[in-house]
Amino acid sequence: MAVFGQGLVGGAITEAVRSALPELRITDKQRIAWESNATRRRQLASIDHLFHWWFRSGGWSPPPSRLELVWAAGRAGFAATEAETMLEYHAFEDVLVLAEELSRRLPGVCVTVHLISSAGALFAGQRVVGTGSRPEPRQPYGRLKMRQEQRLQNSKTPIHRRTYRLSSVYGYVTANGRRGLIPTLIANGIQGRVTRITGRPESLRDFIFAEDVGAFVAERIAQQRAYTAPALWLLASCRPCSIHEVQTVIEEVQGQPSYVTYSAAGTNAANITFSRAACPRCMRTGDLRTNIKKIHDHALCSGLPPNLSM
Amino acid sequence: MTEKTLLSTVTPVFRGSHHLDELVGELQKLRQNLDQSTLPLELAEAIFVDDSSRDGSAKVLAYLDAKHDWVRVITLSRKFGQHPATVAGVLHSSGDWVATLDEDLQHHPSQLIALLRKAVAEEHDLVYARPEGNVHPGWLRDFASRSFKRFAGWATKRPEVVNFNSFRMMRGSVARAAAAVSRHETYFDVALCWFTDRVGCVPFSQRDRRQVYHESSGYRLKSLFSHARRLLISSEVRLLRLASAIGLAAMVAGAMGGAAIVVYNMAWPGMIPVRGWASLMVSILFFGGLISLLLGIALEYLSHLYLHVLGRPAYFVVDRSMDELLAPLVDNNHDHFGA
Repeated sequence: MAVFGQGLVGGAITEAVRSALPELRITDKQRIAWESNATRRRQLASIDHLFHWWFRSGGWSPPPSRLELVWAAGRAGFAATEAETMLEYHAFEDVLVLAEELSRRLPGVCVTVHLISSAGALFAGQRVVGTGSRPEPRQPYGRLKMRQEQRLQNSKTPIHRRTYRLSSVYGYVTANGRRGLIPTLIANGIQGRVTRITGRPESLRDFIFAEDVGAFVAERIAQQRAYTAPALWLLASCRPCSIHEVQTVIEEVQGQPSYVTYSAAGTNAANITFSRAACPRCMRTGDLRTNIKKIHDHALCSGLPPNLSM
Repeated sequence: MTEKTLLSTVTPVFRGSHHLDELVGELQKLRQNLDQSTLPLELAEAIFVDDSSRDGSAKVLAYLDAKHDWVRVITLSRKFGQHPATVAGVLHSSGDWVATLDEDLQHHPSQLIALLRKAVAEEHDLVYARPEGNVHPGWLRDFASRSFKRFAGWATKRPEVVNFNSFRMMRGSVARAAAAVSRHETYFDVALCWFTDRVGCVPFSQRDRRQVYHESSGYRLKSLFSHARRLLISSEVRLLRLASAIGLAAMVAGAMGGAAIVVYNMAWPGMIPVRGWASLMVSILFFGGLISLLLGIALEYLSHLYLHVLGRPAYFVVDRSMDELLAPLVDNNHDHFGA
């Protein structure tokens, strides 16, 4: 298994898979070269060589019958430009080409590509998104996700395809990577700083905890069931939540007011909510208030990273 | 994608197994009518909150949830009461407007458009359906309810209390903000009034179908008293100020009376036959008044703290610009639903 991206979602998936499959060992870790195509292709070639050694050269006996590739990497965010999204698209395409090559060269091996996509970007401005709703991205980031999904769907090789469209993911406070609204508010609340929010207090979002996402994806990986048809899941809590409500809950948990400025610029102020009918019934999601308490307690106990800047 | 105004409905359910199917049927009709009309309005979702029902409502709700993808069921872990169940439902809503209605069709879905029209036409954030005539068979219950609401309106300095009831049309952002700060003892309508003073009402005929069809009422006397208590303690109560004023008056009267007694005793010594009476009366009047005044002040501080704990905000920002989309609803030439 190769997980590309160890941020909020990739990290959660890795941890969940390791819990589900304790026999897994981490054999290699690399930092993706986003800017340099040549360096990135060299990195992927080394991964290709490693897989070839495992599957064909007797590096693993008996050779495994499955290869899972998870794309959870990303540099672009909702405010990304077209140029920035193209960088990310090329990186994803290189990984997909690797998967396609492996599926051709390892005919007895079930190669599955798991793409972490973004429901928030694809359905920006839509509410009660259901099974009949069509993605209509409004920003370059949404169009990037659409292109990635289409590239995966249109692959003519025998790879298995899984796409996970996530709503707004939140997790523990970390020093690196994208943090999102909830951990930012919590960390700034602890440090008495002002949080700048793009949106309005009444803007509706759907927040899903990274651990719940990790658990769902890990379950799909651990199930060992071969979905022959491409599978697409929308992972959301289906619990619309206004930014005002999030702020209120965090203030209650922290026992103090939080300092917030709002800017309603651009489409980030639009509402995005999802219908329960659009989400898998087997998806387990935790309560927002409980998760906020967990994040707050974790931030207090483990200490905020010294280089944390919001 | 044509922009539409979304409407959500929220219905707390406790004993609705006989009525839910019909209610959803009526909501379905409204939804289809809106779909076929030219109005940019959609009934996006109907949220039912199962407040630990024991009459089989849960099974009916599960069936309706499976049958209609626009029906959503939330199940509470135990019985929390109508207002907390309403709060839970509102917090799960996505609509630009959120309507609450009872489970027993006492509040008919066909009346929702009239409530919305009133809200948009007069720029209200909250519109109640005011019952015309008696809702329940027998005059006592309605009389008691109206009388209590008039008293509560005076006591809490909120004349809009007389209109409070569970058939409401609320601006979504205001409803969710009020729900977000509501606690288990908060009277939801009081919380709504913390966020808006643009409250209107539309008169409608309503009948408690349960009692009309020989079922018992959804409310026992004890729960009605609980409702009344919750309304009073969620609000600033004028009586506290009155208590402080009475205490101050008693203290001043005590001081003046005490001074008069002292002067009288000095001018006509021995005229008061009982030794110690004068000093005792002065003490009782003065210190009794002082204690009343201090208690009133302390209770007022407590009331402010309590309201702060209940979540009353310092301010809230609202955006009413999307109401323009519903201008055709207000146009008198388009009698869309005849309500």
